[in-house]
Amino acid sequence: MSATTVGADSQAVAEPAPDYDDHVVRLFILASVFWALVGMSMGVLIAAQMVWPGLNWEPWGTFGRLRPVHTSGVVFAFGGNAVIGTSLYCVQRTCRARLPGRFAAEFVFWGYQLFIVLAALGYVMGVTQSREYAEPEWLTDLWLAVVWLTYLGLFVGTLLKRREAHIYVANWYYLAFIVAVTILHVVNNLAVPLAWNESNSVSLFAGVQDAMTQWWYGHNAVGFFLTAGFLGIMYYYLPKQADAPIWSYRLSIISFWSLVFMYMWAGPHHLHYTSLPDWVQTLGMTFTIMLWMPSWASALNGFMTASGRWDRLRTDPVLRFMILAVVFYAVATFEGPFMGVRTVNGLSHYTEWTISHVHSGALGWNGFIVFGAIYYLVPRIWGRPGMYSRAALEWHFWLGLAGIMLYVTAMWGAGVMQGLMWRAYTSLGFLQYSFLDSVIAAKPYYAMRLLGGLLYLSGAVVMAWNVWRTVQEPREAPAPAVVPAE
Amino acid sequence: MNPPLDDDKIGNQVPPMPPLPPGAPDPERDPHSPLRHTLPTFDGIRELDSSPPRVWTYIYLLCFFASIWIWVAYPAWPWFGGATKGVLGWNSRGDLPRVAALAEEKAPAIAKRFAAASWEEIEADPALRTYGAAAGRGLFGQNCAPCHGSDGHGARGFPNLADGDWLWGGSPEAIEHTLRVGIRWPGVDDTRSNQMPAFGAQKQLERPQVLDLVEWLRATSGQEHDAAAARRAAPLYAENCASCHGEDGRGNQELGAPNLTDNIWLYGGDRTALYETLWNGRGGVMPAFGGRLSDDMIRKLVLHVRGLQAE
Repeated sequence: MSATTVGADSQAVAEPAPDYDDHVVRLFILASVFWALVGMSMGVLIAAQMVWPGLNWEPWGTFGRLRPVHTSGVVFAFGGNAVIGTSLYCVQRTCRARLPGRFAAEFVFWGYQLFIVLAALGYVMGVTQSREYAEPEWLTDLWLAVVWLTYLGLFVGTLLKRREAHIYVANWYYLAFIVAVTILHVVNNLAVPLAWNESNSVSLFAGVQDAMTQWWYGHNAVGFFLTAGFLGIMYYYLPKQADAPIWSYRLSIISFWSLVFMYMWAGPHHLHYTSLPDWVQTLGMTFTIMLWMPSWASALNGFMTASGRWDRLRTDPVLRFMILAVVFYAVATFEGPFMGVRTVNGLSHYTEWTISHVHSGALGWNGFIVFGAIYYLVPRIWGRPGMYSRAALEWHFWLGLAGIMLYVTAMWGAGVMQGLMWRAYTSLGFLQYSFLDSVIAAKPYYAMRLLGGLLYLSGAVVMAWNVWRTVQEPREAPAPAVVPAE
Repeated sequence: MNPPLDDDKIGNQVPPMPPLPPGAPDPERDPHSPLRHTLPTFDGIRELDSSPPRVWTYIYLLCFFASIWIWVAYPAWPWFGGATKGVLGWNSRGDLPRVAALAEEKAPAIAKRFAAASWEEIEADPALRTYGAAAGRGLFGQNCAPCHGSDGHGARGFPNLADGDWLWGGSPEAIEHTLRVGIRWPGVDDTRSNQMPAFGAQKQLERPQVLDLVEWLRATSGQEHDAAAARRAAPLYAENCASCHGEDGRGNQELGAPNLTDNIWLYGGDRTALYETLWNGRGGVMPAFGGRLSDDMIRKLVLHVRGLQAE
């Protein structure tokens, strides 16, 4: 570290570092790696089902039941465990305070895994309330609420105990993630159970209000789960790995409050050209447009933070994961407002374009920032000199990137083609193609997507192997021939 | 404390920053900010306070102004007694009649001629036939292809529409009627309906008799068969089947009874399938499209379906 920071840091240097609770972080990281394999394998399986429908096994292995296992598996199990784990590591260090309760942390971990298992078992057995990304039924939902509020208590408790005057920007995002997800989860799952011993329930909302509540939730699952939570990761782990200062505190403030305020309004863009009243559609569309620059502000902050370290992209695969993640964040948050415009949505809605958009965000942004954070964390929380294999880092990176490129371009192609086929007219004024024609035409793209998904999964398998070998490595440190600059 | 990290393994090599020449601007310092760091460092992370780039600010403001214009122009904000209407006066409900009228206005002259023509006039006019079949192709893809296939070749239980073998008649009027009322479609009183009895399950025939009839069917349709068994079944056929399928087994389109001699099978002509048909009966269902599609659309479908045979 350069000498200029010593003045600001002197206070921190004077006190010994507290004994942080890293045990639960280790558990969350291992769980994240494990669920990555499960969730991504499910994705590859259902991608294969789109190419070969014969792979649907009635009734447990059908596409309709396995798709939520994939989405919840990657978003809530892989992503969720990663965000919770990284947040507990980050909040302790940036507050210089230990987590308030050991039991609470363990409860959050095991309670969250129980939620995942309950949800996944329910999906394959056909227990679902048919709300996208909120499929679990009321009992599982109640359990998650308990676990989540405990997590909130754990996080806020650490913030309250902090020995820093201010709260670091990563923690704003983590806290926004925890608070908003609580509200979203509770409101969207308001339902009346058919009986106390019956898994089925009936939503408290009806008709278009039910649809609006669901997509208010659905879009903010993207906004506060997949964006705010993962921006928390970026704001701590990117400057750490790059060993560079955050570029603009001002930009952090503007983008944080813009994002938190505007995301909540954007949900109606999922329901363009439906029975949702026009004015709701218009409002949703405009807030979607206004979200573009606040999203790019975070991306810009990430880029400029890494600026001056670009040469390390050649030598440091971990930083490369994080920077590529920010690139995909910028791409997806440009594409999103564009697709949210009502007329553009008329072409893109119900096509694979949406799938492409989601996966450029999920595979590129969410996946890569988590991989970067995992590679940052694993040597540190297990006290190893580094990841077991540096070559495996490179393999993971390039397999993952190739997978994303194949996946995203295949689904772009398929989506735009479908949108154009559905609106193609003959010279006599009749629809030129039936829906089935567009399904048959999409088949080669589905095969390409399957290949992309397989490559991405292979990268995750390489990561799991690398993490496992790193954890297994003996704890002895190499002889400290060179004392780090600290 | 954890042991120090091996920089080479995690790619953590940070070259030391070269000393700045005296008087040079500090690269980590924002010219607009008097502060070098806005806050104390957090776990070693420093924060600068750079100004957002101008272009970023301008685009942000542009998005705001564009949104405000959209709010003014279109229905946008909820208010007492309904949302704001927007100065353009656009709304999706009001847009539907406009688009429908536009489609009406832009429809080719032949569309009106087709709507007014009788079957005889359509049969006599190649232009009307071509137009109707082209229109029917799209309708077929949306309404019929899920069961009958986009080429109309059908599948087990779903009749092939391209083979010239019709259960309820292949004349334009007959197909039009089938489309309108459906087959065994609940809720339509005059839906086309008949009953292939479950001879075995309802104990009208014994198992050996059913097995003999299977051979008779295979003989009639020109397939490999047991001739003795087929001969034994001839009186059984006359007694149980001929009333609907005819003395010679050629079926009866008035009753919707299939022709048994042409080796075209809706549920399969192998022994297992024939045995199942005789034992359990059959009763497939086709929806009535009378309420769902206009008369004009149904006639277009008829023309497309009749054209499938030629394709």
